Amino acid sequence: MSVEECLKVLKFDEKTHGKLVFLSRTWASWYFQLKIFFSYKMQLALEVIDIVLSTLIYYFISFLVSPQDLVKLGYSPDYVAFAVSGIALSRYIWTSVARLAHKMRHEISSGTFESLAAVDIDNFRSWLLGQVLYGFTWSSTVFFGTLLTGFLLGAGFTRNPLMWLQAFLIVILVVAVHSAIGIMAAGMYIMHKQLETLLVLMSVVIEFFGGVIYPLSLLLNYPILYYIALLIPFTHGLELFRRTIIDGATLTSPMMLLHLGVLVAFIPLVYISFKVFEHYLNIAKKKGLLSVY
Amino acid sequence: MSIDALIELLSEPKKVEDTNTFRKIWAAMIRRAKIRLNYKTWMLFDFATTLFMVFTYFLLSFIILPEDISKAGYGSSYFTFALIGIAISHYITASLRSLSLTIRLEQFYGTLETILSTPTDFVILFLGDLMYYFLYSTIFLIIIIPLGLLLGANLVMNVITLITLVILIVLLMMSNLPIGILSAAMVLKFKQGNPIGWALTWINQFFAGTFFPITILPSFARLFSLALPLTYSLDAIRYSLIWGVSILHPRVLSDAIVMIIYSVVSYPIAVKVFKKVYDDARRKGSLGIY
Repeated sequence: MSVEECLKVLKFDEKTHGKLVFLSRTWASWYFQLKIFFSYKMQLALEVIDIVLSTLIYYFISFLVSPQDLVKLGYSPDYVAFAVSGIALSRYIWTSVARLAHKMRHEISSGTFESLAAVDIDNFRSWLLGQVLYGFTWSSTVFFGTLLTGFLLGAGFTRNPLMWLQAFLIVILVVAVHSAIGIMAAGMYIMHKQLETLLVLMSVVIEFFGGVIYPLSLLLNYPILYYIALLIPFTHGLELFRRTIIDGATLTSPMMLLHLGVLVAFIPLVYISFKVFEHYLNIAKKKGLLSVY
Repeated sequence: MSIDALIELLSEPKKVEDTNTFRKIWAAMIRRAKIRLNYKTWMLFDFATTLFMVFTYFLLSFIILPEDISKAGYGSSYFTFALIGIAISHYITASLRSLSLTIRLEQFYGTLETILSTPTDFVILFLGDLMYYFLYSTIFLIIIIPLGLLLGANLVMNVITLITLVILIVLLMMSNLPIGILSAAMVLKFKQGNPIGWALTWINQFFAGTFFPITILPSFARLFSLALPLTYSLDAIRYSLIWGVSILHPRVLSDAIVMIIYSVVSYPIAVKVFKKVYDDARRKGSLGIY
């Protein structure tokens, strides 16, 4: 019996699955992960400490920063707002880029990944989507926690609700683009197990070139680094986000439009990512590599 | 049958060991190094993260005013200040986290009980691990310092400052180790390894002033800083490398004395706490549970 015939015999009837079932499974996948997280109370407490400490570090560093230099480089003189906005948005990077592969490694090493992937494709997609949503929920909690801590420390953010709506849309765009990289990488991870570390490294590289704690214009002294930074979607997302919540810049200004245009150009990656993931998953299923680690 | 009677029945008389203790420590160090060297991509990640950190603080230093750094007695370069903090951060992690990490990993892989049942004393295994982390951190130091010098850090590197640096690093590890031992005891007790060690490292680095001088902290927070041995370690290493002074300089010497006092006072307490938790876990048979 060929591999294809074998798969056909064992496959579920996909017609029995409606959209409602798919959504409820997605919700279940999100909810069980959340329940696991809340059962680790000490971990939860330490996450709070991490949010507060990482914000406090840059609050104290802000006493050393020259506001005039920040203005000269084209930013508002408020370094707390500058750094906090960077740290807050960067919280999405690891979860978008590397978390899915990390989660898959966990399932593979626990021996449960094959069972998950062996169920019908709708079930697996709903699991995958639930995991992506969980990552988004977790990062959003840390994101808002960081912004709130920064706000309490005196970061000068805009109070215009429309600007916050614009910021929200930018965040969604940034997460969508980087999740696409994460989904693609998770697919490749099924075949190439060393990739997880490289993904974590990739999130470090993205954060460095994005200018999380230093103004991007400083890289102009090193043109090669500056052009590399411009190739990374996060750089544009962070510029858009910062200008929105600190300066209250609208998307109609030419510079904002330029950054938005670059970020939008990465959107087709979302579609490609699911295709890449399924491609690698199918190869792994046929070769029986799902539980190999 | 009581637990004590059971232990007595199962325990073996201690045999006289032929193998030299130092050889055992060496073997334990090689064992850890061999395990770690299997994970080459993780090592690459570790190095790359540190290098990116150096570049990040190098760029940040362009917008930092030197006044507060200067007032704290560390010259006028923020990059030099931050570079020293980054360069020795691996020693800090090693002294604060290596023991808890070792226990947690063995717990996780289900090998802790087996390791602790061997005739080799756990202290020997731990010292081997600690030596490995010490050498690993030294490789970081050897890479970061020249990189910092290339990027323009104002460090005075000569025989005197290098000898002083070695002494201060040993004191740093000795004075911070008791906190690491207490953290390991907490891992045995609460089975929550990584978060505790990680939080201890971050809290220590924050209050000891790894990225900013503690003089800018509010006075109540500074009191907490002054209670941490790491504050003195960082101050002594920075002062020596920035001004090119030896361990005999009054400021460096006073920091070194504080570190010695910390080690002498807190080490027996930490060992006692660890031993109590360890014996309790052995009696309850919970060593392998996580």
